Amino acid sequence: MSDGLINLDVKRLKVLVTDDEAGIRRSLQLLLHAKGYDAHCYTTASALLADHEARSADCIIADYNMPDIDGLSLLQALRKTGWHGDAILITAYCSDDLTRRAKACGYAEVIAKPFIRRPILDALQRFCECRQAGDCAHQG
Amino acid sequence: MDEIAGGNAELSDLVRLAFAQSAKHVQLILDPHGKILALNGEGHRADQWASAECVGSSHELFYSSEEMAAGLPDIDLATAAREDGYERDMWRLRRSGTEYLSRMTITALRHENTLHGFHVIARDITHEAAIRAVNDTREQHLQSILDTVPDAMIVIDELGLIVSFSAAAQRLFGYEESEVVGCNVSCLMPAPDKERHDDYIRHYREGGEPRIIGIGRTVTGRRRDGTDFPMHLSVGVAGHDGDRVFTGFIRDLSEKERDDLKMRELQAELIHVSRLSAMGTMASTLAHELNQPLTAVANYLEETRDILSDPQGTPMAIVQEALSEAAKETFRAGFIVRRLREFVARGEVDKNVEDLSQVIDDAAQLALAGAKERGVRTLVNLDPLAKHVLVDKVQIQQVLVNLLRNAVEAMASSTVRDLHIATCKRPDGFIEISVRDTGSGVAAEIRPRLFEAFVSSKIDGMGLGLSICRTIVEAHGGRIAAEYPDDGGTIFKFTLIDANAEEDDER
Repeated sequence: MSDGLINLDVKRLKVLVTDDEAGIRRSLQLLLHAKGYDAHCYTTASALLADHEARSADCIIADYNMPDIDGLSLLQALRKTGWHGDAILITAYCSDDLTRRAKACGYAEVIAKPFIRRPILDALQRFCECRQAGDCAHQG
Repeated sequence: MDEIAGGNAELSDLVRLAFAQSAKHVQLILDPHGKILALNGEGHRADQWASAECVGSSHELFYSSEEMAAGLPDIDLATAAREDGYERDMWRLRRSGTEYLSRMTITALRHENTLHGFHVIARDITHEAAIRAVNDTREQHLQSILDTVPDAMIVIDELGLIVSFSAAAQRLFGYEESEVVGCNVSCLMPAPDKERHDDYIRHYREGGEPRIIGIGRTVTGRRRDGTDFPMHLSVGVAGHDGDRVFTGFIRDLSEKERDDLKMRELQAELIHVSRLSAMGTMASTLAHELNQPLTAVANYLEETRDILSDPQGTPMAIVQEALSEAAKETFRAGFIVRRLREFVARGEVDKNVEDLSQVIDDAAQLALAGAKERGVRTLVNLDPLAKHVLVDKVQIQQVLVNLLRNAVEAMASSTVRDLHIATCKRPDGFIEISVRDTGSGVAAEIRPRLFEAFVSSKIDGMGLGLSICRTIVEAHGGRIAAEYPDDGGTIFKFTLIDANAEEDDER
C-alpha cells in the first residue's frame, strides 16, 4: 500500500510529540511526517495523557518543562497505564542531574534544545532498527 | 446558491449530502457570531468531534490557545465578512488536543445584504507542507553549496542557451551574467567545439551515448578577451524531456596545469642532474674500464703492424686473428661508451616491454665497474618466470645503478663483501627486484626518512639518490622499501609491473 508519496509498505512508527512551544512542536510534526513517521502532536501533555489513542504509540517525544505536567511525570503516568514504548526527552535545561533522573524514569534519550532535529531522527532510526531486529523487549 | 434554492427538492437534497459527505474537507456552518450550527462527517473524522458535542459551541474550539489569546477566531470571521471570503493556513486543534496544519477557507453567507452566517472549509495540508519544508531545506542546502564551491557554474537549457551564469563563471570568463544569459553557450568555446556543441546536445537528446554528462573531461574554454584556457567540465542534467536543464561545473585548470608542468620539469631536471653527478663519480672507474679495450686494441694493432713489416713465414691466420680481436675490443669500448651516453641522455618517460635480465645486466656493467677489484663478490639469482617488465629502461637502470653503487660503497669497510641481486615474480602482477649488501647498514635515526630528499649518511652525499629512486619507481607504479636483516647489511626491494602478468591471467 502506498499513498503515492510515502511508502506505507513498512509499518510507520507512530510518534507522539508534546511541547507547549508551538514552533518546536509544529516543525517537528512537519519533519517527522516528511520522514515517513505517523506523527501526532499534542498542544499539552494532559491532552496526550487523556487521549486513549495515545496508548497505541510506538514512541513519544516530550518536552521537560511544560506548564501542566513535566516530561518526567508524563512518562511515569503513561507507564502506569501499561505503555512500554520508547521515549525521548527534549529540554532547554539539560544537565547531568536531569539526564540521570530522565533515564531512571525510562527515557531512552535526553536531547538538548535547540539542535534536536538530527539527534531525534537518529534516535528514531535506532528504535526502528531495534524493532526490525526484534531484539527489543517492547514491540509496538 | 440562489440557483440551488430554485425549488428543486432533489438538488437541495444532493447539496445537503455534498456538505455532509465531502471527503477530505472539514465543513462547518457557523452563525454570524461564530456558533457552530453544523459539522460534516469529515469534521467528525478529522477533528474528532461528534456533531452533538460541538453544535452550539463557539468555533473557537478549533483554535490553539495562542490564537485564541490573539483574538483570531473573531478576527478571521470579521475578515471573511469584509472580504466576502478569506483563506489562510492554520494549525487546527482536534478534540484530542493534537493539531494539524490546515488550509482554512471562510465564506460569509449573505442574502440580500444580510449576513446569515459563515461556511468554513478546512483541508489537512500537513503532507504538502512537510514536502515543501523538505524541498526548501534541499534548496537552501544546494544554494549554500553553490555559494561555497569555487567552481564556476553555468546552467543551459535544451537549446544550449545560457540560463544562469554564476559569479565564479563571471570572474573566469570575463563576462557579466546579463551579457551572456540567452546566448548560446558555444560562445565560451573555441573551435571545433564551438561549431559542434549544438550537435552534442541534439545527440544527447536523441538518446545517444553521453559524451560528458556524468563523466566530466578536460576541455578548452575561451575568455571574453579571446584567450583560451584548459578547464575541467562536469555536467549534470535535470528535468524532463523538453524541459531539461544542463548544469556545468567548471574548474579552471590553467593554474593547476602550470603548476603540474613546472613540477614535471623540475623533477626531470633533478633526475637528469643526479644522473650527471652519478656519471661524474663513475668517470674514473669507467675510464679504467675503457682503458682496457683500448690497450688491447693498441696491442693487437702494433703486433699486426710488426708482422706486416716482416711477413715472411707468418701465417695469414694469425694476422686475421689479431685484427678480429682488435675489432671485438673496439666494439666492447663502443658498447661502454654507448651505455654511458644512453645513461646520461635525458629521455622522456617512455615505457616499453624490456627484458629484465638485460636491464639488470646493463646497469650492473655500469655500476659495478671496478667493484670486483675492490673485493666485491656479485651473486645474481634471477627468477626464470620474471622475464619482462614495463619500464623506461634508462630510468630503471638509474635506480639500479644507484642501489648497486650504494651497496658497494656500504661494504667498503666490511670483511664480507657479498652483493646479491635477485628477482622474483609475485602473484599480484608485479616483479620484485632486490639488492642486498653485507655492508654497514643504515643508522636507526635515518631509517624512517631514508627515501626523503636531502637525507644522507654519506659525508659528501646530497641525499638525492634514494629520493630519486623512489620518484622513478613510484612513477612506474611500483614501490620501493628497505629492510634490515638481523645479520647485518641492507636489502633494498622495489617492484615493477610484470609485462607478462596479463598473459598469465588469460591462460
